[in-house]
Amino acid sequence: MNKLNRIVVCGNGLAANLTALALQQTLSEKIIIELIRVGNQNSTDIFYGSITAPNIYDFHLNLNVSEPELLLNTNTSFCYGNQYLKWGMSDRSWLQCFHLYLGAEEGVDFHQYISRQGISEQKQANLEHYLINAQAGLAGKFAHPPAGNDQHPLSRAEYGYQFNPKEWSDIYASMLDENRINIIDSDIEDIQIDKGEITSLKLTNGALIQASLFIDCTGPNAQLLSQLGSKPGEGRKLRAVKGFQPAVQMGPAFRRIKSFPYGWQSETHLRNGAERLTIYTDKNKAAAIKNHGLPVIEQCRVKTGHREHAWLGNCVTIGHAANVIEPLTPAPNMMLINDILRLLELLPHTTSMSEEAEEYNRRFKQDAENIDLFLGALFSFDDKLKDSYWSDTAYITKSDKLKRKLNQFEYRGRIAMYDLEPFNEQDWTILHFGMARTPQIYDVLVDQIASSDMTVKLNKMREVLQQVASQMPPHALYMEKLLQYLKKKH
Amino acid sequence: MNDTKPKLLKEITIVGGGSAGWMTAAALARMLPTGDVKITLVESEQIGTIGVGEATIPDMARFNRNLGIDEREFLKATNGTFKLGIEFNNWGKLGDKYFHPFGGHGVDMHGVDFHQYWLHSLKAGNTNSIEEYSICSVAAKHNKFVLPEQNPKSVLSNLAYAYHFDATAYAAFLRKYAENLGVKRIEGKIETVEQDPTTGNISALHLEDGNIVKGELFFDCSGFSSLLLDKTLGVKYRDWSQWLPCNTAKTVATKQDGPMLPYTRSTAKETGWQWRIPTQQRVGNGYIYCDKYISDEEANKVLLDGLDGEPLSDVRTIRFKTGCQEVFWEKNCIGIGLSAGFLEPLESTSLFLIQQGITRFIALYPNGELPDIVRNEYNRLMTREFEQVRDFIILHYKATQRDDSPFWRYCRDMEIPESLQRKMALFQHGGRIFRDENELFTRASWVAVMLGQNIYPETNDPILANIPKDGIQHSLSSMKKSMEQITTKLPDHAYFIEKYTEMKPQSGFTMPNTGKM
Ligand SMILES: Cc1cc2nc3c(=O)[nH]c(=O)nc-3n(C[C@H](O)[C@H](O)[C@H](O)COP(=O)(O)OP(=O)(O)OC[C@H]3O[C@@H](n4cnc5c(N)ncnc54)[C@H](O)[C@@H]3O)c2cc1C
Repeated sequence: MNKLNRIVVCGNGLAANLTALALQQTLSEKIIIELIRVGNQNSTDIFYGSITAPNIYDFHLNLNVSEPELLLNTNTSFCYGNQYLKWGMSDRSWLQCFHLYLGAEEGVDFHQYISRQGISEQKQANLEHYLINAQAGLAGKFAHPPAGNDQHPLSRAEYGYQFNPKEWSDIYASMLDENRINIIDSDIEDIQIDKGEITSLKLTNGALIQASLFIDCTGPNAQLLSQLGSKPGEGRKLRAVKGFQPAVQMGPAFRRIKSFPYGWQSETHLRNGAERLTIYTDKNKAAAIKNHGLPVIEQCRVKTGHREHAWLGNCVTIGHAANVIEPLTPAPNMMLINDILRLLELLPHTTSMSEEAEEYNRRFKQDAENIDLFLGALFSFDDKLKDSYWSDTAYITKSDKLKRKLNQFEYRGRIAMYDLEPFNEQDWTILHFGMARTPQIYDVLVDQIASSDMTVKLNKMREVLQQVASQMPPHALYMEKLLQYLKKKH
Repeated sequence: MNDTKPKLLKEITIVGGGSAGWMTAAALARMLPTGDVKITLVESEQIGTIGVGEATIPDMARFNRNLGIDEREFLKATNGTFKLGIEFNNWGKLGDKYFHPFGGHGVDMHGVDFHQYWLHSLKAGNTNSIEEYSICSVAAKHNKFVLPEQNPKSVLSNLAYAYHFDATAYAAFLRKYAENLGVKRIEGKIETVEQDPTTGNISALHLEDGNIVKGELFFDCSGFSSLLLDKTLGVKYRDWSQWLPCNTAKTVATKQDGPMLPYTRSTAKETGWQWRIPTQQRVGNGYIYCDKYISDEEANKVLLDGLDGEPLSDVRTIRFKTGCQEVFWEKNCIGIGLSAGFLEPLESTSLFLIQQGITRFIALYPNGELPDIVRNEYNRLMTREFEQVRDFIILHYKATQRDDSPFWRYCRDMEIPESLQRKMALFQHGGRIFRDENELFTRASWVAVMLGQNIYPETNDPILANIPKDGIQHSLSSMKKSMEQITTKLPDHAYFIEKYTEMKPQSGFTMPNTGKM
């Protein structure tokens, strides 16, 4: 059993650069790190999506990637969430925002009071009225939560970013220290394997690379892990095209998603303009491309789904090499972060790593399944279109775990959660309301507060939030002023 | 959209007036909307209660708080003392001693768990045990106690505590509380239970005195007899005695003399273990063993030899089978307390499981139709709860190096549930804790028992190699020093209780008179 002394990261895109950076910032100098820039994952990196959840902030901080740096050096903008407009070509529209705990009254979750209101007024209950970032986002506004004032309504508003994967990949790459990480530009010619472990990589530049641990960040094909017998996941084939529309004025602090029979189209509001992504299935290519309407700057075709094992022998996969997720939510980025955190936590101490691999695979599978629950919930509705994009979704909606979640909500508005779900209770609550799921009954404990008293309280709350939102600056103006300030400071 | 108001349960009937019955009655009376539901409790003085169950875990304070019970009143009424953790003797090897504290050890740094630092420091010659970095252990060792501080910067913010108390007095205390909130108590022995011939639901209880108590939803809190769940509805029992072979308890109380310790003591014996639980006036003692390996008479002797005070009564014998019901909620009946299952009191979890049974029910509070969707969810959650506690208790038996008796050899060599096996293997390999989110026992608890019972990881976290050894040593020394310094200033446990219970209840609290507070 030898000490872990050399780690090789393979890949040339967002996952590889972020993984290398994370290793550089955490590992002891005694462990040699090499980055082999294999291939180019720019086109499939589209599938990391263009928004992140709020947890990226702390993750970045730990890697010394600061918000000012991101804002000053890329076209990144703020993001309160995803707006689904007429999702599934129905009248379901909502802003799936990131929000802190929604609170409780008399020990009963806040949303139960909204459910009661909806049930007794015989109309779809609207949670959005009571979410500060939904109100601010829809009004085109943005501001950071006030520091040190957790009484202010805005302190409940969490935010992530709208970003371009290529720009972020470049930022991470620029932070790699070449004195610490040996970077090689080369493809792989051959992979030598012995007893289920990679012994060496022969590169096209002639070099022979050996290591204790190989990290495969080569994108959906998983060039290394696939040689150890791993099969791709059981998702579905999707195509993506990306275009860009420059803009003088930056758009709102959310990404907008519109549904079409062929799939969906998103507008990500970056600082220099809007990025348009169209996702569709093979069958509807012509309609999708026609409707895309912008020159194609990037495109790809991938199969979604996660591998059975993300770690085999001495090779662990990060990002798309392990799991490709449809970028309909911030899940692809969340999963990438989780992959890296999981790896750092389980980084083997020696060359005997089967314990770590087993635990890694267990957690990986749990994370992947939990993430799919959220995506599955977006496709769990009855009036679905017959087109293949909408009808071929059984692979993600059939899970019993998902059914249990939906049943629990639909019966009595209960938010059933599993261990360590990446999407939290608020995300699920907002999603259920957005998808117009209506509980049959509400929690009886709600009746501790009379309906009329609660209506007064809720109306007041709505007014306050609207007022706060109206006083906030527009996203574009806020960004402009912030950048002026940051430029002066840095 | 359906009906505007959920169809409500009108009647809840609780069978049994031990801790389980009165905790259920009190919590339901407090939490459910006033006047909507009639709560009745039937108990039999002739049968009596089990009357043990004196040690708890920190969640107990939350339960009382939710009921609006003032801590001082509670301590006075139940002869309560504070508990900072459990001292385990002779578990890993004969002569070993470790402390399982509530609250964590040390402070995590740079995203790395504290125990990894401690393990790392051993290599640099650190000879302090990990518990010397836990404020609960340090205070317990010096027989000190104080309430935790709110300020997260203070060492005392890491202090967590539970109680030792008189279980019978607690049931009586809650009885008064619940009756004040309108719970109706019926004294009488239930002779037969009537079921609806079509649904199989329980419809009425027939008492010895001819009284008939009808009901809509029943809680079976009838103790080991499991009158409704087992005897009436025929729910099967999951027997876990292959992993937890002890099946008998001998109990006796002794007079409290000597210092009032703020912790429970658990001493492993040749065929089981003995507890010592200090309340204000007396000390609860008990010997838990497997009758396959020792006769009852010998067990009596072991118990009496292990006492450090005069017994106040004769020794009681209690038989049990470790395990739980296959379902906790069957038809219109929910089992809570001993009727639902029993896990030996090694980590004082029974009252906690009662508490969970009640809070889960309230969280899922059904309408009058008691749909499967609610029942199934309740059963799923409670099964998980029992299994997680089970694994943690098995760990104490499995992680032993003792081979001085057939009992310990059996425990050391037995097969264990896969879930626990993985946890142990992962720790053994690299000191990592298998993650399960909503698990009762925290990382610190698993670490305390594994290290306490000599499971030392084979390798150390590579990330630590980046941090200079001197820096680690310095941080550890200053943590230890600050704990010692603060402990010297803390009051003695007995003194603290005396002064604390003399103080007036905090504003807002009184025993409820009528209606909801
Ligand atoms: C040896 C031992 C040690 C323990 N130590 C701890 C500990 O340290 N910490 C901890 O948390 N827990 C401990 N427990 C568990 C704890 O004692 C019980 O979980 C708790 O007291 C709940 O008991 P119960 O109310 O379910 O049952 P019981 O106290 O047995 O109550 C049963 C009730 O049902 C009534 N009843 C039964 N049959 C009938 C009938 N036919 N008609 C009318 N009424 C009836 C009885 O009158 C009684 O009121 C211990 C248990 C044992 C056995």
